[in-house]
Amino acid sequence: MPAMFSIERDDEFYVFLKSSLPPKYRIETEPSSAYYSEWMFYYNLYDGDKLMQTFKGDYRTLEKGTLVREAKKLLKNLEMGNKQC
Amino acid sequence: MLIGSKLPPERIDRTYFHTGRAAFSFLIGQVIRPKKVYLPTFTCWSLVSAMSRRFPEVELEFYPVRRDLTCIYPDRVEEGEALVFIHFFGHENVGELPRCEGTLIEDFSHSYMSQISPRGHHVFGSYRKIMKVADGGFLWGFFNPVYEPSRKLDSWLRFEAKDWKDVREAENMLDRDWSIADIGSQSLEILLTANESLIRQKRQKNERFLAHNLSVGTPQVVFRQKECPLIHNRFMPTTEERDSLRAHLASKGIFTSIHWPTHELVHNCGLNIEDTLWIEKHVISFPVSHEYGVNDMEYICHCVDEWKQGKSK
Repeated sequence: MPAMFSIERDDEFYVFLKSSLPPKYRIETEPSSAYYSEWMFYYNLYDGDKLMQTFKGDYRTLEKGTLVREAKKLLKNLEMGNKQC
Repeated sequence: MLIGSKLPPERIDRTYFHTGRAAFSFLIGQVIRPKKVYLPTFTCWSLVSAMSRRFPEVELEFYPVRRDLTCIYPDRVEEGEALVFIHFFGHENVGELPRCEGTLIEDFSHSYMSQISPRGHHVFGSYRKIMKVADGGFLWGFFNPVYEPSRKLDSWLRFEAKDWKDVREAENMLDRDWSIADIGSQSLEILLTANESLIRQKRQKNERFLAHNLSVGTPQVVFRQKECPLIHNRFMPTTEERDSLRAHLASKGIFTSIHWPTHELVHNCGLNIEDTLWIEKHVISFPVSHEYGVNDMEYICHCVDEWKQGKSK
């Protein structure tokens, strides 16, 4: 499935994958319930009900472009049927 | 009079934005361009963040707010200065305003359905607090902003959301990065067709029910007849009791909030913010949305009674 849009920034990672993953995969967010924790991210990638990978961190300390590269690589691998993400 | 088929468009006395903070930022950056802005110590973080991120060159000063929501304004607002005041939770802020040679800005985010006559020079707000819309902010009056580009991915995510987590993620996206963009068509349709009178009545009814029937704490605000409550704020005797009650209610599927935690810049502003901190430590905010009926309010009261009985055992 082609991506609905091109990812440009790290903090578009979640929406990019949510909109673009092949149907058998899904991504879920586990946002902190603490107030004003907008910079913290915690995403789980599933293959059906099986947890494949977790992405967790702080957008403020992330090296710029890390999640953009990760998202593109991940999508390409999943589309090619390679689960070694 | 001109007669023809290619005429300029009509202007309306409302300008729409993607968010309230976008409306506020347009007002500060493009309309008023003040050298100093006053904000209340008791406030939503989005205004403080908008100032600190978008306008670091503009001096930001706070004024204290008492626990009964009385504002201690500066003596005067000088030329080139702007003061923001809020009708907290839909309750009209009727306190005497300072002498002003600058600009008074009213935040109507909580109160645009409260039938309040504005006293300031400008009125702005967010629509998302009261209405279930993906986005929306407003500025009273006709302006003609050159909107900034935005893909509005936060709105896309809100429409995809099936639970609070995606809504929260969308909120986080907005808090991390936002632009002075236009409102979405879905939101505008909902807002323009909303039955404000019915919404106000339902919210009033729900709020009054909680005000009269909750068996713990004391109400922070007594709403007037014309006002449309955003939430029902209640003060609990201690933070421990408040947090214990919140946890119990969450276990019953009732999600309350705290309006508001105090921003770091307020903590460091050097003013006496004792009352602002007191509110943060004692307040619990109950939902009174028009989406709910009195039966939902009864359920809230029942669960609060349960917590109270459990505590006394």
